[in-house]
Amino acid sequence: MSLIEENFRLAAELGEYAAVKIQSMLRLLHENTSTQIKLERPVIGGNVIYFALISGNDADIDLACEYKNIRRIENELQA
Amino acid sequence: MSDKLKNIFIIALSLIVIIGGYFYYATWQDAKQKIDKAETQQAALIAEKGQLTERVAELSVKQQSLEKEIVGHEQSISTYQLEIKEIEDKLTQANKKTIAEYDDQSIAQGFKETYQLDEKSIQIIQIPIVGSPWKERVMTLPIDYVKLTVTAHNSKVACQQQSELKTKIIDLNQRIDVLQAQNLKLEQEKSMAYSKGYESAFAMYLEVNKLYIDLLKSPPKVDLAPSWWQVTLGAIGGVLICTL
Repeated sequence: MSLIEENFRLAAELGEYAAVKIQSMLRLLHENTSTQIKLERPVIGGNVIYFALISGNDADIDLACEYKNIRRIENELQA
Repeated sequence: MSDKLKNIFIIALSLIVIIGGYFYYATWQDAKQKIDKAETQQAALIAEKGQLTERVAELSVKQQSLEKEIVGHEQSISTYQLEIKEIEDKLTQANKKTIAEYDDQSIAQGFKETYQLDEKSIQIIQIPIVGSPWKERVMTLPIDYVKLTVTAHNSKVACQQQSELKTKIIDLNQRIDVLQAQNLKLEQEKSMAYSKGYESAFAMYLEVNKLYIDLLKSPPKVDLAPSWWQVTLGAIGGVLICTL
């Protein structure tokens, strides 16, 4: 399972609307940049998930979050 | 004077005997009627008690049948609850699988199958994000098909509300079953109390009635009449008086 697939699987633990919002952001990041993040510790059924930067830079993450209206605080994403 | 006194004595004695005999006969006849009445009443009550016992036995059988029915309903409720849980678990798993999907072709295929769309209706394209060099992968579909997603959402919300209400109904039904079982138990206890009281009263009645009948058969005697030796001595005395 690739990193993006693993991230999608983990994001699916969130509430449905939060999950697709995060996944949409991840796809955008994946298809437009070389920045990679690894999701972790999702709040089950919630809208908060954490990440670790694998490669690339925070600016790409911020831009992707801005496009998808996701709030980022350090390594926390709020959908 | 002596003869006259003797005749008066004989007449008075005869009257006493005749009147005494009459009252004794009348009293005994009255007692016999009361004995018959008490015995008839007792026999009727014994028969009635027998019928009552049979009726109680019939009702007990019916009660057991109802109790079995309640147990059956409780088992059905448990089975339905398990089935509901199973449906919910399957739905959760299926939705999670759908949400976790990454492959765009699989996502589009799932959408087509769900809404029975043909291949031409769906397209996956990349469009630029306004004011950005970035592009986003999107799925196009004829505008009217979007309405199906809205109705599907509405149906989901209504279904959830129905499900919640049905859960409440099941909970209330279970509560009713519990209350009915408690009511049945109280009825049983009440019937037992009545039965115990009735048995006790009936036994007491039989005992009192027996005493009553025995009393009528052998009433307490107030011995006003002279005893046989007194009569005999009196008669001898009378004969001696008459011969003198």
